[in-house]
Amino acid sequence: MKILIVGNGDTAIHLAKMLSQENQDVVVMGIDSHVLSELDAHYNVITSLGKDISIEALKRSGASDCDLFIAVTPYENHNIVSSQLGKWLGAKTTIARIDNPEFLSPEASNHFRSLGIDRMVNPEYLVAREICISLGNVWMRSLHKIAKGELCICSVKLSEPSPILFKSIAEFGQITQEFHVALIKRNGESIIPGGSHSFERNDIVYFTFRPGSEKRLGELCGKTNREIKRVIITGTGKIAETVCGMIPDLYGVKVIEPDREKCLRFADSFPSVTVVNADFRDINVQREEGIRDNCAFLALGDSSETNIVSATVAKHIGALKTIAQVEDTQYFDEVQALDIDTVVNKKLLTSSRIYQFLIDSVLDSPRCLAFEDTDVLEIVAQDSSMITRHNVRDLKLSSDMTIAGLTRGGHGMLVNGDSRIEPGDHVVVFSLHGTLRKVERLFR
Amino acid sequence: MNELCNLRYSRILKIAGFLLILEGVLMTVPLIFSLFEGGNDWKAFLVSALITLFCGCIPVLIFRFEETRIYRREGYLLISGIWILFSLFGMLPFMLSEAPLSLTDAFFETISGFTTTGATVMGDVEQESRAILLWRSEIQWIGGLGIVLFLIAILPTLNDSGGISLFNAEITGITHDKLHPRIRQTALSLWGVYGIITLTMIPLLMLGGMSLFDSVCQSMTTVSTGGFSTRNGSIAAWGSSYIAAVTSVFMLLGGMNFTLLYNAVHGEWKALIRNHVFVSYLLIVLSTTAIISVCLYTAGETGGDHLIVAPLFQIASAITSTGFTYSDFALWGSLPLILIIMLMVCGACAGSTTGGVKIDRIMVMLGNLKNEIVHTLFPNHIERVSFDGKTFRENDLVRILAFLTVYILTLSAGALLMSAYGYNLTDSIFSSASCMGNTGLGYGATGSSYGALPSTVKWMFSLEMLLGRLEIFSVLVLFYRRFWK
Repeated sequence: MKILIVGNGDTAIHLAKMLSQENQDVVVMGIDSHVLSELDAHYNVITSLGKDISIEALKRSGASDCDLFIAVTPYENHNIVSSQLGKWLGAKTTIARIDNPEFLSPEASNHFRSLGIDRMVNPEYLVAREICISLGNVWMRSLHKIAKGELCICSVKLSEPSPILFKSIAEFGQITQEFHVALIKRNGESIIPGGSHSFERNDIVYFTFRPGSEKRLGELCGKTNREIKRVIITGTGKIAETVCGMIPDLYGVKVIEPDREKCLRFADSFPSVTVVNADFRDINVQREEGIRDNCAFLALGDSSETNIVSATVAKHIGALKTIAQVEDTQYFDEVQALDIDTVVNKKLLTSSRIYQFLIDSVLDSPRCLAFEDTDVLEIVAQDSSMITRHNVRDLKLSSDMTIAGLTRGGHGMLVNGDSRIEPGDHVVVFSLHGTLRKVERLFR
Repeated sequence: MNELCNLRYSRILKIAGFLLILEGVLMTVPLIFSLFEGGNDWKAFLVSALITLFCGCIPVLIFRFEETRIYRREGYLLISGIWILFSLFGMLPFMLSEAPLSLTDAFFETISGFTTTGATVMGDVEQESRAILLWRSEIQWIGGLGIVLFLIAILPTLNDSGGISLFNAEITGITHDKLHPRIRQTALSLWGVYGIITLTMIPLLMLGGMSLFDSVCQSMTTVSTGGFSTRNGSIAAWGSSYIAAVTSVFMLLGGMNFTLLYNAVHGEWKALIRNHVFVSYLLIVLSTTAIISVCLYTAGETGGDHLIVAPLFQIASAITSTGFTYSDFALWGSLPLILIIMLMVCGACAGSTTGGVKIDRIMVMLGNLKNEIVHTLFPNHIERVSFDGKTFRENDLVRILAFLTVYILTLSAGALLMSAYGYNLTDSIFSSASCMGNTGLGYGATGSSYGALPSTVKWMFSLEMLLGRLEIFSVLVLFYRRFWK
């Protein structure tokens, strides 16, 4: 499939890297020759130098016969015009990154579709949605529902006083059968655990389970499920605005901003929000505003460094949950290891969203989710599939994949060594990158 | 992050193993030919192929579970290492044949083959068996486009960043254009164009009265701009203007950027005329041919063959670094000789199979020269070097300058070493320039073959050929201490 990516910012680059590993024909068009030549020298992509709304440049980069046109420059207007031009030149599907969340409404998106823009992605909206979801689950880092909501995947960072810490997976299996440990992330490395692996401190563990077991999982991970009562936000940027617009009324929201003018403007736009004109780095201010009182702290300022530090401090002085926005992709991985509950990144979320859209509709792949270096696949077992011939224990699966669960007749269930896959089952498989072929062989 | 960790020798060895297996398979071509012909050299090829296959299988089997993903540093080690390793194994048939060569001679001959230099130590090639001659042509054909490029086309696992860094290290030129987003497709397309040109040339030569065997060998060494011939007298041995003209055209084709050629084959003829490098290439060939024709005319030569075909052939042979000879240019006087030396240093288009500095680099330097003159008059003007849709920034210019410096220094060192053994100035400079530019033409003492040179000079020239083919930096990084830490 031919994919043209317009733009050479972090989102475009990240997307190009992900897609080039998928064996797609990727062309990246941008204006920064240095960034493009670096990309060209290391990835399976062609780069082309040109302005995003130049018809000549778009033609030269192959917009007329591309299957997918993705405009992800930092400028909303350019993306919209560029996508329209792409469609006009002959691109089959167009996607544009936009700033204004209003465009996502059904009427507006119909209008834009008639103009030639098939899909729109709003990074601020994605971040705000991610934040709102994670506010609902205090101790989880992420929660995904798959297989029509019959199975859940959630990631938890292990810390004291969890009763399962330092126990092996086999011992964990004796305690409970309600959960399947699909993946462990340790020091940036992904491990598909076997029975002998054990849980270490600061591991990020991905569990699969049936809906309804969340509370029990919280107990096992040593997390008390306290409800969040208030939310403190630092910064008054676009993401803060979007979050304030989306956040449910049951939270008391406070926004701390050192700039008086910005405070006044923000207070005008969101009358129900308490705006505090103070320096959010001042610990006394945080205490005064009740950070210890079941409070979530959202560091959404412009500076990634300040966000990281203030979220860490807030956690230290007693915030129930901390979320930091980190825009520098370089140290995004490193920040994950710090004591911050959730780290969000606009660009990564945007590129993952577009990638997800591709997986759903365009790529010939059974994938339903994609984490950084792990794919979650949902595949239907056939009569002839090798996987149906033995119990899971005897299949001798390689150590870079695991069967996390399945749905049989619309009913979700977990899988252990004694389970046997039957034809017609929808099987959920976790596989590290590069093992897709092995998985396909099992289901052939 | 990954580039900072230790070199993963197991991965390098595994890929090197694959390459050796490939070489072993390539050796079976002359082996089968020799068996078919009933010559005696099949033993040499059988033993060589078995040794090579055996040595290739060991690392592949030992590291069979190892990934082949490699990073930049490992890529450089692999690329330089593999050219040397290929030559070490490729020389086995020469050492084991009926008329065995010494270690120095065999290595010189093989690396001269793989780097498409075409300088030979064999004084009398017609005495060699036909299997050996076929092997000489085959290694030039493979080396022309690149050994590793062949592997990228075959091995799907190299279709990643490792393969791309190998591609960039092996293809000549300042920047590297991909034909397709995926590196493997690019490699396959390049080999396709290369193969088609070679196949087209064979019947054309046969029309001129050349035998099938000679046509195949000559085509492989022409398109790869290598220059090994099956006759002592090179192309002159056939004494046909037609053959000389056909060879000239295909040498010039081999000197073109293959990406451009691929696009031209796919219907973009206009891109060819709009390409500044290609037009300059044509103009250089035509103007120097005209100059030599005038020189020869004033010296009293007559006839189309002497005035047009011979100069064109010799110019094409020199600029594309092929190194075939059609007439004794040593008798033409000093002006044509100096022109030929200049063309050997200049080389043809980047992204081709030729050696030398390449026209692209010279055009960038000339563009820069113009800018410097403008800068002297108008210090505040922003001037840039830009042609064929590419703009060259300061760091490109600095890199080209560094390249030229090393090029000239190495060339001089080779000439100095040769003159230390008592050879005269012209012979030394000519031979050193010929090896550095992967041309393989000889003059004076090296006129008929390089066989008479002392071993030290042969090893020096072998190094020059490798530096010239891999465009210096890929090899020089290995001599930098921090590369190994």
